[in-house]
Amino acid sequence: MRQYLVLCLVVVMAFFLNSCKEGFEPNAPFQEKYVLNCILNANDSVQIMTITRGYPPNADGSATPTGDLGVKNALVRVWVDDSVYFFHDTITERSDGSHGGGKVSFYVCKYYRSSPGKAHVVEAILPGGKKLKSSFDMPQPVSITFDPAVTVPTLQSDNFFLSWETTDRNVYFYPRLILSYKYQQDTSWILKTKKLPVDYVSRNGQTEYFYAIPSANHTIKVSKNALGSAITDIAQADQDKTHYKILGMNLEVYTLDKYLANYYANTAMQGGDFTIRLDEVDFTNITGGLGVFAGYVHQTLFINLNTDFIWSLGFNKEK
Amino acid sequence: MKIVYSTTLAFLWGMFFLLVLPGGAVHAQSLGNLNGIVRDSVSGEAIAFATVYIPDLKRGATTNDHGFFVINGIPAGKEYSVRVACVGYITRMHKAKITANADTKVVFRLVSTVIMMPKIEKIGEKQQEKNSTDLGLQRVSIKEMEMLPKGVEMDVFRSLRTIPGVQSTGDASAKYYVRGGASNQNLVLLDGVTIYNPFHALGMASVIDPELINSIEFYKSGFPTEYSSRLSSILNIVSKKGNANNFSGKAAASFLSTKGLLEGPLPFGSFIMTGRKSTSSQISNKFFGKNIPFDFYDYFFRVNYDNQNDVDIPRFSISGFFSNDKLINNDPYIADFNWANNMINFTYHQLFMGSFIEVGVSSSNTTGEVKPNLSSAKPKSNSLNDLSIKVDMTRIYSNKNEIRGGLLFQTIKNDLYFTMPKGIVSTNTVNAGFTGGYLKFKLMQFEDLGIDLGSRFNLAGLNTNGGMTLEPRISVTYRPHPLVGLKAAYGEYQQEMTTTADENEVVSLFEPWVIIPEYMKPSRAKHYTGGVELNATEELTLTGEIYLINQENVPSLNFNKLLASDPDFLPATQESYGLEGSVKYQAETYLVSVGYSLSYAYKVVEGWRSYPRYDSRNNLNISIEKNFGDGWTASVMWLYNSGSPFTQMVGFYDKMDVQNLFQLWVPYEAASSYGYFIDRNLGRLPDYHRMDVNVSKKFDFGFARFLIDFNILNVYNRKNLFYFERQTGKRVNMLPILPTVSLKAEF
Repeated sequence: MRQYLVLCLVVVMAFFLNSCKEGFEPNAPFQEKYVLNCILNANDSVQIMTITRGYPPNADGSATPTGDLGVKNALVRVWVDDSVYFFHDTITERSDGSHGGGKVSFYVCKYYRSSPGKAHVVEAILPGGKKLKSSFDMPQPVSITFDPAVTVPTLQSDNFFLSWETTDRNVYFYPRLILSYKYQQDTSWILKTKKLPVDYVSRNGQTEYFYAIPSANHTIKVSKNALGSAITDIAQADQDKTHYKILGMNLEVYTLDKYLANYYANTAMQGGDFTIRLDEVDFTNITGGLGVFAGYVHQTLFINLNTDFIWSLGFNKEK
Repeated sequence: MKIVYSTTLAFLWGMFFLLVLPGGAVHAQSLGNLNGIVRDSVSGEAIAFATVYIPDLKRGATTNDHGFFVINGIPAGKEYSVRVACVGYITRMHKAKITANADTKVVFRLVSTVIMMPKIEKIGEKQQEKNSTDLGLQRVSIKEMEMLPKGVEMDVFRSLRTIPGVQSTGDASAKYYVRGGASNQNLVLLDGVTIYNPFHALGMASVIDPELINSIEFYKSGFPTEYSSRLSSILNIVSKKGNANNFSGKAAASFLSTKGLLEGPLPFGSFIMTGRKSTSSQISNKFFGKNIPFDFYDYFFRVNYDNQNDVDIPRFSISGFFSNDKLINNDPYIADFNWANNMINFTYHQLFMGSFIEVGVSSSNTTGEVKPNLSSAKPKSNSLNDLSIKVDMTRIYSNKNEIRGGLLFQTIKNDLYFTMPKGIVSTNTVNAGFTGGYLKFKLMQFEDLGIDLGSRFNLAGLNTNGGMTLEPRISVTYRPHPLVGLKAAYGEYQQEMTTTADENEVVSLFEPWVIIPEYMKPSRAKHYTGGVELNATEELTLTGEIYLINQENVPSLNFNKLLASDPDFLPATQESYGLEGSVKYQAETYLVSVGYSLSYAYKVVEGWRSYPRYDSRNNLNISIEKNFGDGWTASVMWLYNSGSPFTQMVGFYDKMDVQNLFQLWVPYEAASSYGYFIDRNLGRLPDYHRMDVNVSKKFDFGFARFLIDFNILNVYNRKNLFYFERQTGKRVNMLPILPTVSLKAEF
């Protein structure tokens, strides 16, 4: 018995001595890549684009971006039919404190004209001659199928639905609800807005609101109680609700093109808390580099809130 | 449909003809047959893969899954000594008198070494049938599994890792990969019925409790015609029938689960029930570094009509298996997970005029769901209902040759909802049917030559794009010298289902199954295998095998799917090849095993060639098992795998964050670091190695027998890399040194 124990001990000790850490290189030699990011807003004349360069990992494989990673002096053009928009480089101070602070370069175009449904093509020729190219079709505006004569929510229903229609396929919708109200400060009434939830839960005495997220759904379901709770919150500790007048609610629908939809889905959705991935699946539609070139259309529809519902919350409604 | 019907009918008539016709010299003068069943002396359990050998004639047979054997064409009028042996049982000599032109029916009973509990317990006995066409086959006995270090708890799938050619991607997962094949190309059968999601608790354990297992056959490749529907391997688990003589039970507890078993006699039969329930999720801290609130159970029952003393009477059994896993967090910001397997099986088998007949009707169902709640997890749901009817018939002739055939009718209802890697949602609902079968001839009449030749025929497939196909297979064993066996096998295989597995997920909860879509053809594989076996001495066996496996139309998840109209899967080709060797020295009280494999695998998707994550080049395992007597046993196992492939990063970039689209007017500030990579899986992780030790003691106390097991995983605390977090560079290692103890009581 003893000899077996001794034998086992020797074997174990041998492996103990052999179990030192070995060298492991998580990274291959750095390869520089260029990144073009541009999300065109069909409703805005001012458009921003960034062209940045990649950076090497730290020795331990972690990332610490520092300084201005922007690429300047590139020739950047966006074609829409026969129109050409030039993007010019500019520089500003970072306000978020990232990258060690300092300046950040980007490109801007101030005279873009909305072109829903049109093909957009970008080409950026970098100072070294490297080309980054991409294209997308700007989505068409949606048709919001809501009768302006109708008010929501009714006191009888716990939920109501808001819908819209489009002929575009492969687009995502990012809806949000914005409350408009007036607040009396001294003798003047100040116009204010507040983002409204679609649902809520109460946990540990705290109310947590949930807002609509981008999806392919053409409809959102809104909880009357969530809406009421969020509207009630505007008064907070103010017991006198006569200082507030509710105007109504705006339904904003952002229609994302297929590339922005996929980029969103790829970056915002994870496998789950119990899924461990070794590699990350990345999305790009930039030929010759990384990043995304895409666009969205923004629409708003005013929705009249039910007067009885507003009164039930203790507020007045402005007609 | 008419062709399917007429071909099926023709096949049935053909098999009936073969069964009814007397086989060769079976009724010739002065010859008789010996057939019967081998059972455990105490429980009455049929013993699979026992050898029944007549030394005077140098003839023998191996019992099948149900303990049946047939030796035909024996010179009659004489009483023979028959040696009956099996691992874990005391070898015993029986007498059998053979009557001319008749079947001599016998029931042989073996005494378990556990019952005898000798001062020095023999580890096992080498089983050998000289011309057995068993290339690529590993028979794993529970007794052998019990001897090996068990980790937290004995597990079938983890035990497979010790077999050369079987790979794993980490300590946390019991998933296995065989000879370069993907994990979804492994078929797991319980009593002949497919278990589709056979993992508990994030893959930490298999759903099949070892306590319910009677026998295990594991085919690494070159599997015979009776097995279908997977390209890589077959794990055939046969359950116990239960103690037909006495009521008995077992209870056991480990850090992972508590479990129990109850078995006993019934009028004309027996029953067995097992159940297992997770006890604590604390162990997940060791595997994943965080407490994961998993909750699982599995239950199994089997009721048999089985006359213990009469071989002729038909046998029936009804069995059921149910498992469920949950991860419920009670937090709306964390996803909930739930997946389950449900199986009901009815089998009928009979020994009839020297032929085995088996009919099975089964329903196997798996469901799974990821409920994201308010988290960013991707919703996923899957259900699969498999209803199958199987008929198998085996005719053994007096010259030992066999003809075997079978039919399979299967309907599958499959629903799937999941999100592709780039966010596109994919849904699929399919109702499909399969009709097919197999026919084979086994040439066993020569002492030194065995040939297993046949083909599967698929008349109507689940994937209608495949048409009618054949899967020809042959396995040959030739023994030019009594000590040397040369073996070769060739086979074609077809698989019509796949999972939405993303091989970059080192841990995933469940893999949804889907029938291969109509825009692809069914996956096909060709296995070329060769081997040599050297029985140097009674104790020492050396084996070597080489293999080449080509696969085509293998569904590979389309990582670049951007549009709903893009396909979910792309057809890939795969090739794997390698060599494997093993040395086994089996003495009276100890067993030394060494297994080594050198393997290569790669996959080509749309012209891009990459190594799969389980392509570990060199694998070595060494185990020493020793029986010290008085119930003490000990074992040491060392595993070594050279580094698995991974994708190296070549840089970071500022990826624009679109979580809040309304702030996109400052895109340069809404960004976070994101890595970019070189071509997939060109780098290699560090080598993996680990040593596990087990000491166990059996002892009697009061009315019960106890087994206490002490295990230490990773005794020298090797820091094997599991993965590292790209953004932080943090290294996450696999299991550290982990001592565990488990206790089992048998009464």
